[in-house]
Amino acid sequence: MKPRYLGIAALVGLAATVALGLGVTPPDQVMGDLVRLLYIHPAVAWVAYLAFGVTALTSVLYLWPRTRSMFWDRVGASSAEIGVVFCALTLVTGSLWGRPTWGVWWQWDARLTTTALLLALFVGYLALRRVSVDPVARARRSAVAALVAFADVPIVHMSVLWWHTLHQAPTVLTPGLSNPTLSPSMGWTLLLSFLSFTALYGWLLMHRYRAAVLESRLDDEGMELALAERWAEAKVDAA
Amino acid sequence: MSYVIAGYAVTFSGLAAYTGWVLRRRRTLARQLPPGPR
Repeated sequence: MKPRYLGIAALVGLAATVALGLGVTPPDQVMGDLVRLLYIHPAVAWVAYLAFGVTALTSVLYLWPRTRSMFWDRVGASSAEIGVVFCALTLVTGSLWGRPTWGVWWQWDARLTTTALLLALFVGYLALRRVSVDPVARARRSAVAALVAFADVPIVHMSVLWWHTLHQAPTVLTPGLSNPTLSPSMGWTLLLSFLSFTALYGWLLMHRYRAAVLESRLDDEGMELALAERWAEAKVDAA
Repeated sequence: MSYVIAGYAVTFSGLAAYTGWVLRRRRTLARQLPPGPR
């Protein structure tokens, strides 16, 4: 699919999500209008999981000798950066939901703490990528780091089932996907939000990957370009 | 409702800012390089 079509699909889907989420779906019997954050917060969290999952998968593909390629390294790095943005937004929107619901902006609860740890781990992954100048060493180290960081994702997801937490248990993504406790209009809007944010992730990944390719080319050709410029200046001076 | 509006505003302004940064970065890098595959 061309990036443009994916971008348009994401934009239309997100606009429809906002219209349905804020204007059409009913308020919740218990939470009232706060339930409208349901069309943002879980989908943003899902994209963070997805992005980190793609980073883990591409890291395995890089580390596996038969599939080793800088393509996987660049896709993984691009996806991790997008994941960090979505993970940070997950924490912010969760905090905005928690303040009126729980009475606190933040609690060292299992779900919140493991999510904050996930963000810190992938920020560390991005920082690690800036340490090494050798592309091969950087790719290898960061692939291992991504796999270590990704181990936190299932812990984040299962934390509400494994420990007693302030955060509610899954509403839709219950084990076995049984008995979702949502009305149909809310369920469809939630599904639309998941699809739209996923399309946005795909579109962002394509653009970020292309920027990563250009960054690599600039690293490779930067010295040659600088030397060519110096030669050109020297010729002008000589003339 | 103010928390809901704040949640939507933070999410979409954050994503718009990041999207803008990615597109600007790509354009800047493309300008710095000689013609070739993009």
